[in-house]
Parts: sequence; C-alpha cells; structure tokens
Amino acid sequence: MVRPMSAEEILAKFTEVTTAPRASLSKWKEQNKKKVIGCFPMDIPEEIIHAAGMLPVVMWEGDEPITVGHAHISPYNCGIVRSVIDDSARGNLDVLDGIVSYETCLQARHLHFILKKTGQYAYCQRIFLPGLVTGDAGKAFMVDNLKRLKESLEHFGGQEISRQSLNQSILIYNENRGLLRKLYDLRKRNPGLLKAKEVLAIVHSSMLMLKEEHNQLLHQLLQDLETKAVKLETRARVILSGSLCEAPQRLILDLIEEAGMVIVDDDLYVGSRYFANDAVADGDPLVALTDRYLQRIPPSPTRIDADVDWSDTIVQMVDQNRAAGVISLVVKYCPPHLAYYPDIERELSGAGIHALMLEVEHEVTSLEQVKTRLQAFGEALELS
Amino acid sequence: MEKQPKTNRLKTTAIMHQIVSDHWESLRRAKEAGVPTVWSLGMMSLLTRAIGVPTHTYATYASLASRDAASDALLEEAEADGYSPEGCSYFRLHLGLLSAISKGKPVRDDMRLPMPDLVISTRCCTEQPHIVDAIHRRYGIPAACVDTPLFCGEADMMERVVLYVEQGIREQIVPAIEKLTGKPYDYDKLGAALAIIKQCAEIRNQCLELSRNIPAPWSFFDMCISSGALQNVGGTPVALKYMEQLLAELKERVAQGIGIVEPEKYRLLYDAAFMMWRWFGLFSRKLVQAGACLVTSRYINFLWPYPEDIDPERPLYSYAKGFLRGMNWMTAEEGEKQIADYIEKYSIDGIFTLNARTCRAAGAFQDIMKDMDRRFGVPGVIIDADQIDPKFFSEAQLDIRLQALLETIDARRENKVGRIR
Repeated sequence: MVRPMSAEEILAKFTEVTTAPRASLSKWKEQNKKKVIGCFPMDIPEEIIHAAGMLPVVMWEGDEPITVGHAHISPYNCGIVRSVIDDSARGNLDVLDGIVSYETCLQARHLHFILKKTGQYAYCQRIFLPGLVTGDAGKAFMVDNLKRLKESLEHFGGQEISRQSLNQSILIYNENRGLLRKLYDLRKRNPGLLKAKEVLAIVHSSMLMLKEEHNQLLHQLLQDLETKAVKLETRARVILSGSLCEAPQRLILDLIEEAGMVIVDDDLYVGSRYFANDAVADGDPLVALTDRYLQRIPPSPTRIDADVDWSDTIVQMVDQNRAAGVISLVVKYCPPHLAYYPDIERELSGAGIHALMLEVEHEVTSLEQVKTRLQAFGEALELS
Repeated sequence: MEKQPKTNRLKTTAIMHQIVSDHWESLRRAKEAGVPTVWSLGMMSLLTRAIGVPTHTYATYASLASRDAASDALLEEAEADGYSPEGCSYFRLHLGLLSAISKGKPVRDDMRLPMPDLVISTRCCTEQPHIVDAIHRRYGIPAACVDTPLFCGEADMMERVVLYVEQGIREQIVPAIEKLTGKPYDYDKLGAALAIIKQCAEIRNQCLELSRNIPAPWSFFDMCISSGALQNVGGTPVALKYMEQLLAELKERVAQGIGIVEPEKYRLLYDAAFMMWRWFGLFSRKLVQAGACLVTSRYINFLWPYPEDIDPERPLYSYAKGFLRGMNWMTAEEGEKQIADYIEKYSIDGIFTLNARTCRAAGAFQDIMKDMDRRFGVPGVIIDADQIDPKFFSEAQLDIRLQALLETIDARRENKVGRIR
C-alpha cells in the first residue's frame, strides 16, 4: 500500500515541479507515454487538450538569462515571451509535442510564427479568442474556434474527443479549481498557514501537472492543513495583484513576508485568476468553455469588458479581506497592465488604500531596491 | 566626380499638407459650431466620415502632432498622469492631449483638438481597446470597440473572421454612432464613400506599381503623405481628385525617367507598422544624401489593399474585408510571403526595419529578415527607435545602421554575392 504523503512532502513535490518543469514533464512523459502540449497564457481552454488524452501545461518563464532568444525578439518584450522564445531556440521546450497560442497581447501576436522558426513541434496551433467581451457575436465566434481546436487535436491525437469525455475533463478541472478555491479560503481564515511561495507552488504546479494527480495531492494537503491550528496573525494584511501571464518571482514573495506583511488573497494570474470560475459540465462543452472565458469577473485587460472596472474588483477584494494595502506586480513591458495601472492606483488612493507598484522583470536587476521599497511600504502599513 | 544625390519633390504631395490641415481645422470648427466629433482608431474613421461626422484618425494625428517635436509635451503630460514611458506612445499622446485639454493647459493651435463625443475603435492592435477604455473611464466619453482578430491566412478562417467583424461593427459600432447622431445609420452614404475609396485604392495601386520602375518616381515618404487621401479625407471627392493628380504626375515622371531620388543608388524596402513620424524629414534627408530610396513598404498597404474586395452594395461586409486584408491584421506568415514578393517585384537591394520601443508589433521582423537574406541575399537592418517618443531615438544609431546596410549592399555588389541588381 502506498503511504499517503505528508503536507511537507506534497509541498516539496509541487515546488520541484515548478522549479524544474522540463525535468518533471520529461519524467511524466516517460512514465505515461502521452503527449504534452504547451498552452501560452492566459486563457487556452486546457480541458479540450486533456479530453484528447494529452497533457496540457501552461507555458512557463524559465529562470535563465535570455541569450539566443534575442536573435528572434527584441529585449523590449516581456519576460515570458522572451523566455519562451529563448527556451524554444535553445531546445529547452523539446519536452513539448505541441504548442497552442493565441493573441493574448501584441507581444504574443507573432509567437506562433517565431516558435515554428525556433523549434520542431509536431503540433503548432494558433487559435482566436475574443479580445473583447461583446455579446453574441464573440460567443459564436469563440465556439467555432474551439471547435476548430478540437478538430485539429483529434487529427493530431488520432482519436475523437467525445462530448462525454470533454464534459468529464471539465469536471476534473472544476474539481481542481474548487480545491484551489478551498485552499484560498483556508488562507483567508489563517493567513500565516502557508508561506506565499508555497501557495504559489501549489497553484503553479496545477498548471504543470496532470489535473487528476494534482487533485489527489491537493485533497491530501487540504486535509492536513485543515487540522492545523489557526495562528494569530499580527502582520499587515496585503493583496497581491497583477503579474499577468507570469508566475511572480519567489524571492519577491519572500521579501514581502520579511518586510512584515502577509498575503491574504491575490489577483494574480498564477493565483486566483486561474481558478476563478467553473465551466458547466452538463451541456455543450464548447459553449460551456466559451461562457467560462467570457465571464466578466475577474476582469482582464486581455479580454476587455468596458462595463467592468478592474479597480473595483481589487477594492472589493481589499474590503472582503480587511487588507491594509495592495502590492501590484507589473511585469516590465506588459502594455495591458501598464494601460490600466494608473487608474488602479488612483482608485485605490481614492478609497484610502495603500498601494505599491513593483515593476518586475525577467532579469532581476536590483533586489535591494525592491527590499527597501517593501520595507518602507510595510512600515507605512503598520503606522496606518 | 560623383553626382551628389538630390530629391525631385512631387508637386502633388505639396497639396496634401493643406488638405490635412483643413481636415483637422474642420474638427475644431465643428466643435465650436456645436457639431459632435468622433475619434477613430484602427480603420473605423470612414464609418462616421461617410455620414458627415467630423472624424479624427489615430495615426495621422500622431504624424501631425510630432511635427516640430510638438508631441513631446503631450507625452510628458501623460507620464505625469501615471502612464509609463514604456507604453505605446500613440496611447500616451492621446491621453496627454485629453489631460491637457481637461486641465486647461495650453496646447499648440495646430494640434489642439476638441474633446470627442464618441471614440470608436477596432482591435487592430491589441492596445487600442485599452486607450478607448481609458478615455471612457477617465473622461466619461462614450466609446465602442469591435473585436478584430488577426486575419489568418488559413482559408477556413478567413470568411468566418470577416462575418464576425461585420457583425461586430453592426452590433457595437453602428448603434453607438446612431446614438450620437440621433438617427438611423445611413448605409447608402457609406456605400457611396466606399465607391470613392475603391476608386482611390485602385489608383493608389497603379501608383504603387509605378515604383517598379528604376528609378522609382516616388518614395515611401510620398506614400505616407498621400495616405491622407485614404485616411483624413478618405471617401471624399477631394481625395479622388488628389489621387488622379498624383497618378498623372507619376506617369509623367516615369515617361521622362525622373526618379524621386537622383541618382538612385539603393532601392530599399521599409517594413514596420508605421513611420518614425517625429524624424520623418531627418530620415528622408539622410536617405537622399546616401542615394537611397525607400521604394515601397507593406505599411502603405494597410489602407484598402485589395479594392476588388470593396462592394458598395454590401458596405459593412466590404468594409470589414477591405481593412482586414491590410498589414495590420496580417499574420507573420503572410507578411513574410508579401515581403518576398516585394523583393522580386520592386528590385529591392536591402530592407530597413523599425523596431519601435513602445510598440511590440514588430515581433517577427528579426526572423523574417534573416530568411530574406538567406533566400534572396537581401540584407536588412533594424533601427531601435520609436514612432514619436524622443526618449528612444538616437540619430547616431540611425546613421550607423543605415551606413552598415548600405556598406553591406556595396560589399556584396563588389564581391558579386547575394542579390545583385
């Protein structure tokens, strides 16, 4: 009989998956003899790939300096785009059998083309997701596009994706999203229960592992965590926002905690945005996945809805969590976030909420400066 | 002694300055007379101009405002409002203008615009909906946006995309215009304007064909100036008259063997999503001094490249298809094919590309240029600069990279390697 893993062992496994995705996926492929498909962030419906009997993973930002990648794209692009291209050019994405991308933003517009130039992928698909939430036209268009993705995967995988198998995949993904929401609820009640980087590893590993396996480990982890006593938390409560498409750097999460703050909730892509909504699993699955994408909350600057204000949802999150401040991680050269940040800051300030913006980039240039700013912010929160 | 290169200016393009000035002045006068005005981004301007609503156009405003560096103050204004200098400079220019107007700050007369009553946009670049959203959020100005996916070269998607965009314009943009004007949208007027656009685009294509002649009778700079006929005053009789006059002058030049640059030593292709507007004159002069002519560009083809697609009887469908086949919606795969065609068609010696610091549309240029060199022996160079932001421009860099490109062409000619004309 296999001994259940302890919380520490599960967290170690999640951390290992997120710090060395290529090695972990190579091992998984060897054991399972299945194809692995990389999905460029943030909204490819992974369920369709899962239902095709393949492993969908969200493409990750490597931690090595960009070198040969700059022969294909200028340094004025965000970390994940440059890192993915660099990894592709260096053969570090050879573990992927295929890649699915879409026009997340202008920088991702030609990713499909560049990846085909830099790597040998048996399957390379560009799909179209509406960039705006615009009613019936957008919904019908997206359903047609998902149908196109489904058919291409059927062709590539050599097996039909039935409605039943796709709904089954949706259920497995919903379960994962539900478990992650449960984890976040637990953190809200007991903010010091896990370190920020551990929470990050839990969510990020979900993007890099087979969901069934992740669900099993998450169940065990939650059981263990729920028995832990609630600690009295005196540190300043903060919300983390932003870091679109990319996982925040673990070092920065450590610095936030070292500066006397505790993260109670987040508005991160590798965070609550990833598991915010479920898809309905008892009807037309492609319509269900489209409806999930077109949900208005959380708002996204890559899926614009003029009737929803991103700032409002952050203010609401602060209120719900009795947080004292918001730290926005703005990825350097991320135009979608840069376009909204001034208004977010203004709204937060208007609501009397302390706000700090940290520009983060692939190449960590001055951690000391970040540390100093976080210390100052932590002190300001304490004084307030 | 080698003849010093010079430029033979066109007479027709001199008219465009006044046409464009009149266009901007009409927006100011309209507002003073209580007539609503519209700001348009990403090829939506004809929709309102066709029905008589004075309409701004996004990129041409940037070209106007960056003249004599006047845009610098507006960029600074946006930055003072919290916008990062790393964000799109067109975006900052427009937000800076609105900020200045709303705060009552002085704006130079010839670049002052009234607060718009409506902003309409495509998702021609993924950042355009951001500016529309920001204007709506900050200033409460009504806004409407239509989703316009990258127009894939894959046959199974093309018709679907056109129908999606047509439906989007009908459901998102047209109701906003009707609300502004208080009456049903007049599709007949749009059809009539499209009929003129079709004629103008046909003439424009004839003009572009003439650039196959050596020496080329006009350059990319003239094409940029003339694009006002398809943008600022597109779909009007003034535009048609301009285009007819331009074609006649170019034909005459070809007949007489007159080039825009004389002697024309290098025929270059300019490939970027826009011009370096703020350094338009400087760049032009440097090229002329070197005897180099920007013979053509995909950029100029973003305006109704295939007039045969335009059917005034199906105005919205034609409208969508007409702009979706332009450069702005082109996949890199299609762009690469087009550049390869241009190299052959226009006898290109080298490629000059702008990698704009605040616009990430240039993502695929590096790979495309490498391929062109490999396939045709045509070298290329990239300049890192910006469309209007001086923080990201270095004249020395422009000099060095231009020199490097021309020297590479010279060396290949001398050693008879690569593409020799």
